[in-house]
Amino acid sequence: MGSVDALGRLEQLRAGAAERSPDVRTLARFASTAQCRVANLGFAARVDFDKLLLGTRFAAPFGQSPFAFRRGLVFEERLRADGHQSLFAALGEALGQNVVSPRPVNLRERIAGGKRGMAARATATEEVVADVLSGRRGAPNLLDGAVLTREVCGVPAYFEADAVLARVGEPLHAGEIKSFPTVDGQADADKLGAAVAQVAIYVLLLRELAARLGRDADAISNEALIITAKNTGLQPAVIRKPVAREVQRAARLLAAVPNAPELAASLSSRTPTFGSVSDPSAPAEARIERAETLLERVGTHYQPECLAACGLSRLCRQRAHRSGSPDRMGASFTRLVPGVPSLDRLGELAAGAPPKASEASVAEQVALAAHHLDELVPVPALVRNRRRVRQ
Amino acid sequence: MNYLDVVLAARARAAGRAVRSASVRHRHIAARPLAMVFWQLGAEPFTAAAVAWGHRPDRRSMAVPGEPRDRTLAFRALSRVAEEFNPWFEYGAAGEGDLPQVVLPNAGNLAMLGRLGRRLAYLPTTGEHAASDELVRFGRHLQFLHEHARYPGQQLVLVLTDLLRTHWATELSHLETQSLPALDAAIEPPAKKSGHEAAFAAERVEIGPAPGHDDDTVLSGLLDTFNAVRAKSTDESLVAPLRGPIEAHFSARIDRAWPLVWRCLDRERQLLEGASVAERWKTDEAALGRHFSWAIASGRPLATKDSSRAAAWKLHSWEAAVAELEMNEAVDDPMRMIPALMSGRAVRGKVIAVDLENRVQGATRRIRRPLVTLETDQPLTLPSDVELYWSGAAKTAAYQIQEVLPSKKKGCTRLVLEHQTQSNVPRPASGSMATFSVYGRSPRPPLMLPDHDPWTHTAPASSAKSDDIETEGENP
Repeated sequence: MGSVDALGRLEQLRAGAAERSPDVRTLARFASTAQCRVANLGFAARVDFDKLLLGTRFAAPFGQSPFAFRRGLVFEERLRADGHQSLFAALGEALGQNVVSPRPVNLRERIAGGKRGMAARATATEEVVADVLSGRRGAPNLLDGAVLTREVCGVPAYFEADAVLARVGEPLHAGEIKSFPTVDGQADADKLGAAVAQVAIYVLLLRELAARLGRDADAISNEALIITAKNTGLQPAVIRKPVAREVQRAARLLAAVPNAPELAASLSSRTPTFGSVSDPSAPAEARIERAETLLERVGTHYQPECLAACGLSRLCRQRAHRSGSPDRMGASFTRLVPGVPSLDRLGELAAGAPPKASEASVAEQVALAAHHLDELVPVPALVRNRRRVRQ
Repeated sequence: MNYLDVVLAARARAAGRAVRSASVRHRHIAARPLAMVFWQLGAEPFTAAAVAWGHRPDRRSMAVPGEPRDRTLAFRALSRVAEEFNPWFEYGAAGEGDLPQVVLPNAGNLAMLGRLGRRLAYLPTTGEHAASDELVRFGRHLQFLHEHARYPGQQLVLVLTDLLRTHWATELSHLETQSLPALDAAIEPPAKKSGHEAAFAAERVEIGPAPGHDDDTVLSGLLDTFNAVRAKSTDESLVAPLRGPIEAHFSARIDRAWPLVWRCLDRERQLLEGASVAERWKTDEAALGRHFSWAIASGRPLATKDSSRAAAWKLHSWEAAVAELEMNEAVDDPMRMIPALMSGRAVRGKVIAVDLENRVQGATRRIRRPLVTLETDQPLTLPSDVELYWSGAAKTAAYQIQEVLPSKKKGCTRLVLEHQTQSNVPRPASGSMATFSVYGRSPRPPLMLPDHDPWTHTAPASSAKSDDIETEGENP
């Protein structure tokens, strides 16, 4: 656990930038950018990356449709109505069990929100999970609104779960409620993938909690239940997904992230803060400049997947483009060109520039490809110039 | 991704705009295709909030239900599309001597086509909630197109992002090429802008079907007003005048997509069509014929879940389509042959001798086996027992490597190739450049399935429930 000073330095770096929401969904999104040091630092400092560059040309277009939001609310309300009745029915049907006496606990209703509420809910979560795992008769069989704690990047943090923990037979299952439709047992692959990533993180946190409580981690199933809407209506349809691999991967990623307080302490005091980047009173160009300095000093790991996960990704892509980094093109490209720093250098090697020892094998291949191109192929007819239709 | 792609990407960067990655056009573009653009609400993938369709850049039709979550209004709008789509798809295009071809801007629109097809194709045509035959048939056509679009190299559905990606190399990652405005901007940036800058600006332009960043926030207000005034009424005379602002909302968005779609299509049209394209167009025609005889003549919809037998056939034919497409493109286009040249699956060189009278001892008598001698400066990585086909006539018999000889020319090798036929078929002329590759008339082993499905592949008898996915009483 980081010392108070180190945590204080993180708080200094956030410097008033908007705070991210402390939930499992955010942690799942972070896990996909966990190789990036700026992402580590910002996550530990609880910075909401989506808001950092708002108002500049690099703002990422993340947002939720109000239709999606309302649909989600209606769907969850239905499932949770009357003591989670329809949720129990759906889970019971999916697992082939009949829940005779539903005993749900909703910590969201029991304990108020806010920072103190999170701590109280985390304690209550531990108590309820211990009770559920004890197998006591009359113990709750559904936990909603859980808050789990875990150290990430060397900083302890709370994470609120959207998903529920259900005891419908053994072992216990985590279930994520998502209002997107399932037809013929199939749901949108991207949406389902995101849901699976989230529930995998929740399963990981639960298994760690079970281990802390001195129980067998396998008391929590490695099978996720995604509770979706069936067909064009709002009746539940449960998709069962094995997530053991995702859980393992998340555990590995989170174990490998660097210690953010140490990272923060190693930065010079002149490093721009996240707050100075998001400062709405500063001109956009100055904010972008500060962000670039921050990215430069801390270090990043841009890959095209970042575009779907991180609020700084557009700026990182711009930097990758400027330097000609092969990272701009994605993993299937970079795998082919180890040891070559840029696309420009690839162009030189293709044109016959003498390679360094580390570039030799790639140079041979690109020079051969270029040779074939120049020899075989007549330059394709250029597209005649037409006036563009303005958008 | 291969080293050819790497070099092309480096050249695109140096040029500041996309470069061609094909020297011929690998897909057919029909004389008068139908372009379609769909829009949906943020969380309602199975209903269209707007549909635009048309055959010309300067003219399009549009159907907007107003409230797409209301089944009556949604189906009424889709029926309007069906009334124009069905006659064109079933007879109209054939009347003009061509096949019906549908052009879509991106993969999202193709998925939308599939979802709408899934929803409409199984609607009951009798009973209380009867849908019109027209609407159900429209659904089956969409479903067929979506299913057919999964065959690599098919040409009944052109998804423009895929079409452009086939023909151009850019600096964009795969994810970014899903945006047609960005891809188009990288290919043809406006004056004084680099492809990168232009793509960066253009990627914010959403052209459906998923709403853009703030689109739904705006639309939400319009729909609230629409729903409040109509008070659940679906009476056309009441709702038609109320739809104005919603139609204007989508009209503005469709007007961004429409010229873009046609500009991209026209740009590719200028490229000369590959030689094998017409052959694959015939395959598409056969598939379309099978669909018509199934959907219209038998009147039955497709199964929503494949039997194990059907799944095996599909997988087999997909694999065949992948191999066929790779072969067609490599034979049609010297640029597509480069990866084969680099990986020991092809050789190119100068033909220095053709001996038509060479004879070898056959089973009973000496038979003619013409020899072609090729001089190449490539390092030879071909396996010695490989069967090679001359790309100038890839459908004739194979050549086998008979001998590898040193050449007087520095860095060169001579390859003596024996043609495994005595017929008078086209062969490369002495003195010309020729490419021999593994791409030829390689017959694929037929799929042999047992007469009865083994017990491992029999599904439990499914409960006879309807495939209709409508739900009662779920309207907002």
